[in-house]
Amino acid sequence: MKLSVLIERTRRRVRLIQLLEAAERAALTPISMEKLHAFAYLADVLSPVWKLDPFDFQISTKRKSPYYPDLQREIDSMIAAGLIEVSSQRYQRVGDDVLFSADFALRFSSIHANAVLEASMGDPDLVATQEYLNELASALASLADEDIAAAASKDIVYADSFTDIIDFQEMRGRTTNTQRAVQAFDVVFPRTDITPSRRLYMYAHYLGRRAHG
Amino acid sequence: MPIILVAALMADVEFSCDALLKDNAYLAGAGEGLKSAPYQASEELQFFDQVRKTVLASLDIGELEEGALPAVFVRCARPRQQATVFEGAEKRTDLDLQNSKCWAGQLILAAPHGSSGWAVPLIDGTVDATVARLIRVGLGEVPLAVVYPQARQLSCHFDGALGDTASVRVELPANRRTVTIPEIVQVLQEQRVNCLLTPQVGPPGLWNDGDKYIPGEQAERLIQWIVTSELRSHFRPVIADIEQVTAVGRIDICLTDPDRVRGEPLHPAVIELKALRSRTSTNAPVSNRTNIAAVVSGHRQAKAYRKIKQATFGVLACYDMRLAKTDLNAECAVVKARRMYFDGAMECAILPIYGDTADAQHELAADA
Repeated sequence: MKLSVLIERTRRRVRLIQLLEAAERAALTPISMEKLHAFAYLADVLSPVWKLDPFDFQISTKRKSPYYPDLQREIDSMIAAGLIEVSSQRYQRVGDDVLFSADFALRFSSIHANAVLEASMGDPDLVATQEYLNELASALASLADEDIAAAASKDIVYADSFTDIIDFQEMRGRTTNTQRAVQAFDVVFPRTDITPSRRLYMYAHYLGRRAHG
Repeated sequence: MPIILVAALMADVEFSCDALLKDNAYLAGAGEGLKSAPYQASEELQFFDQVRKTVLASLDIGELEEGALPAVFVRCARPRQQATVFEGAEKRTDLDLQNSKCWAGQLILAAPHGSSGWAVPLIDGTVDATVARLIRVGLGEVPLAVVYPQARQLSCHFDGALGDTASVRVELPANRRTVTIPEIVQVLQEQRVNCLLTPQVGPPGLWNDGDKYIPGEQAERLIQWIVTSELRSHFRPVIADIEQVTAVGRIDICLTDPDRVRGEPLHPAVIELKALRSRTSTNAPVSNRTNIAAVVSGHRQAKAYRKIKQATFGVLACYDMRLAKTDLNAECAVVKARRMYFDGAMECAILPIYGDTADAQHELAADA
């Protein structure tokens, strides 16, 4: 395997473990596939709130809700490697397709998953990322449980996209519509201390409202 | 270039904040998010405030069942993992959206946000047996909150089940109040009597040595947290923030109404807190002049913060921890400050608290 591919896969695995760890802390686990992808998407699109770059390069908007094929591939391989445990396997029919779905969580007894988390504590960038993911997971957990997955599909960039692909790389350095919406909270609540953490909660609840039409 | 492609390329540019600001979902969602976001404080205080919020929201939903048992909430970094030591633990989500049946009589191994976690029935149906079990399984040192639904009280143990310090008690009031000056002063008075009056009811750390009227190093911060928590409970859904930074200083407590109707004031009140003392935490004497200066500056700060926040009311709350509680309001400098800075929308409340129970008894007996 090429070194660059190996590095990219490692990067993705660390990200997945961090996402699951944040979900664990917010008592969202075992987390459904839909919720996990929704969480990953919102983590990308809201990352500028925490002054971080999006993790992923792009996402297709063809599906009803966010879905990362690369993330799913890593989930599958990490289940096989024993780092992630799977429960509540199920099938659902979407049009003519039958989709497999399940709930996922870190396997506590996995030496490797724990080693990755421990090692990531020594990297300031990963520490900042984990802090952000923990905060976002808590913000999502403050929504009604059934609204979490639906919320991501209502994100302004995702829902209002005119293109088949959202290119996160292209968005770097630009103000996205999601960011504009997050910044506009200052207009709704002037002279109020709206911390980055609060902005995550406020945007999550806005999406929750949108999910209810 | 086809029109559809131009539209696609321009989509980002055409986004209208004006439309968003007229969107009810956006406005309501922003308010809900502001209410849900945790209080900006230490991890323990944040957890207790989140549990308080969860339980109050749950109690507001439905009638409390007769004989409802207490509940124990324990802050867990990884609730599912910690639940594995309790056989039959079940996942609980959205406790704030359900009535008390889903948490009363339960041990909740809760996430830091307090509204989800894993639950098992209280061991032998009692708080004591549950606490003993928590200690046995290695959870004796994590922050723990006991909810007494019948008494509508929350008992917060900062050092967990093993800690030897007393708990901080927070009220879970049944009724909401409207923010007015008399109601604010009433809440401050009730909270003074119930949670601060003597070392017996006060939080650990309020006094270093009550008999000698030596306050604790963190006395002001503790008062600030308890006051803020009570204000959030009584005036819900109004939120109370601490230490908001403005161009003219930090506001001790700023109330914000997340559900306000457009055009109504966003900030119903600002509250400036002062702790008056006769000794510092290291037993150095504090002069009367210093206390007078604190009250005078409190008048000025409360008014300035009210103006800068365009708040409806401004309140100065002086917690009098002095041994000799002379009438500071009668001091010339204070009278002058009152005349200069205060109007009908401002109030100063002097709130005596005692290091010695006999002194508190004297106040209550003299009142009667």
